[in-house]
Amino acid sequence: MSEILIDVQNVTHHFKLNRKTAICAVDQVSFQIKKGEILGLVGESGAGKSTLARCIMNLYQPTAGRILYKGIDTCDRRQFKEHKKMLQTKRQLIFQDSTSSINQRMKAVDIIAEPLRINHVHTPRGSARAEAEFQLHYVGMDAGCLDKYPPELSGGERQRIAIARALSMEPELLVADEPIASLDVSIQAQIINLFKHLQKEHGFTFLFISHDLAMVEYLCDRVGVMYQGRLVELAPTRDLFSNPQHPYTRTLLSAIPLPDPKRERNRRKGVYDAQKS
Amino acid sequence: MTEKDFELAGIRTVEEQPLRAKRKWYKEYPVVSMLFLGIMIVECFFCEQIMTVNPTYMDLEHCNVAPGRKFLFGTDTLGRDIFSMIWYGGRVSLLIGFVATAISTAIGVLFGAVSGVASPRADAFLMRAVEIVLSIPNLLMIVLLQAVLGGAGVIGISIVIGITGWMSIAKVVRTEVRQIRNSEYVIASKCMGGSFWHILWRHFLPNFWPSIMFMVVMNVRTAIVAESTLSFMGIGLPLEIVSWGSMLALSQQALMTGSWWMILIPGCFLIVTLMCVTDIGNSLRRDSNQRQSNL
Repeated sequence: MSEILIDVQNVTHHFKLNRKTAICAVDQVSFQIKKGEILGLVGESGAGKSTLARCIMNLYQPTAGRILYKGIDTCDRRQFKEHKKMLQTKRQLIFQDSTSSINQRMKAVDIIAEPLRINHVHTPRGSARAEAEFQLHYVGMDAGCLDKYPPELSGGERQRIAIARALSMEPELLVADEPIASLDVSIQAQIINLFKHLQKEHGFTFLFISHDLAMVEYLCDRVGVMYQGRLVELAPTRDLFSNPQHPYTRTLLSAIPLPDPKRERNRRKGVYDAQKS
Repeated sequence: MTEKDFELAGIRTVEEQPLRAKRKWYKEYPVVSMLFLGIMIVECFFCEQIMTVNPTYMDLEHCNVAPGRKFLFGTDTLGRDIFSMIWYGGRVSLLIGFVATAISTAIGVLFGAVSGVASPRADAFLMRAVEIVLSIPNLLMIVLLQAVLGGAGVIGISIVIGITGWMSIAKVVRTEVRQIRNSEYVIASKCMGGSFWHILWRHFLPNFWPSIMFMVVMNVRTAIVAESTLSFMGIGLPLEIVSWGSMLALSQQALMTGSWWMILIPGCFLIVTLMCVTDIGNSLRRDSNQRQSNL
């Protein structure tokens, strides 16, 4: 439990707009995720959460800093190439929008079995189809959906297929980039419960990116708060929600609506000004 | 006061229209064209069973015979039976059509996909190269290549036609790939370790296939036409290899002797085949457009 799986050290990522200007999307972020932990990452839009996730998944090359996965520097070309296969199978990414993250012209079976086919993995359940069926059961869908195309399925089912695809490789690290943002509330709850259940069974390490504070509080062991590319606070969930240290975190928490209308009316919403503090 | 006065403004009774009957299955496909083309392909394939005499046999006693009972479509100036030659030569013409199309499609898809995923500079370079090749008249290029490659057989001419007809497909494929390549499922596939071939086959091809389908089918037509043009001009297949083009090449002599059947019959077969292919291509295009608008 205490073993560190991924170590992010001073990662900075710039997006070049043109020759002169660059936007600093992620600024000097450092944190560690322990094995089997669920780390939540919250922050407003444009805070650099997704960029950080993509840096961790090697989709972007960070401008500066290192990311160590089990001691392997994934930002280093040579080390990445050396462990390419392991890195590609053991780390999986779930995208926000299931409509665009799965190919509309492929059947559910093919989508789920795609990573197996790419990596020529022989599954314990025999054929790729059997494996896909198993994974589909695992995420709570029945085998009837195997031969359906994504447009025939609902948003929640599509997201489940995306999750099943990520799980079919039995990853050690699962990075979910706002997996519930495009779903409606009842489906969100289903998917969150599914994540919680799956994490308990599989024991994978989970980086969960969201801007829904309630979901993060429910799911995560530790929560990191990002603001303008910086990680302003990182604390265990209970500490963060009961005793926020950073003023931005306090402002963020004050934005949560209260279920009681009387208290809601008296709720004071803070405004965070980065220049002031 | 009649009931009419109580009618509220804006409320109109809509006459119920009976739902239009579902389109019959045969209206969705170009049945006639498919049937004709199917018959043509099958008969060319089994030409040995249909041919009445050996198509290459020169029956010098019966030169220039008009269509009749013995020679259904007549004979040419060399005394060969045109009925047998049609099927025998059709085999060659269709073969050239399909092989050349396969070659040009493969090159076009590959070139387009490589250009689509390449960096902007490499992409610009590749596309300018395509435009340079595209600016050379097609026939000129075929003739040049033919001259370079020397004596042509069936496969040789297919290759020549194939490697001169891929440019437009490459351009369309490149545009489509550039649109798809940044979509999340391609990124996800790359993340899982999918190679270029895997992504091309699994993600790119199914997505751009509908848009090049029409061009691919039309390439069959272009290839058949190119072959007959070349043979007609005498730089394609030699006269002893029977194809519809080389049969039409005989028409120069036929015009002088007034034997119409030598021109008309192979010409008719060629035109019917081309029309069928065009019709199928057109309906495919309509179909794919419709399906895209349904999505």
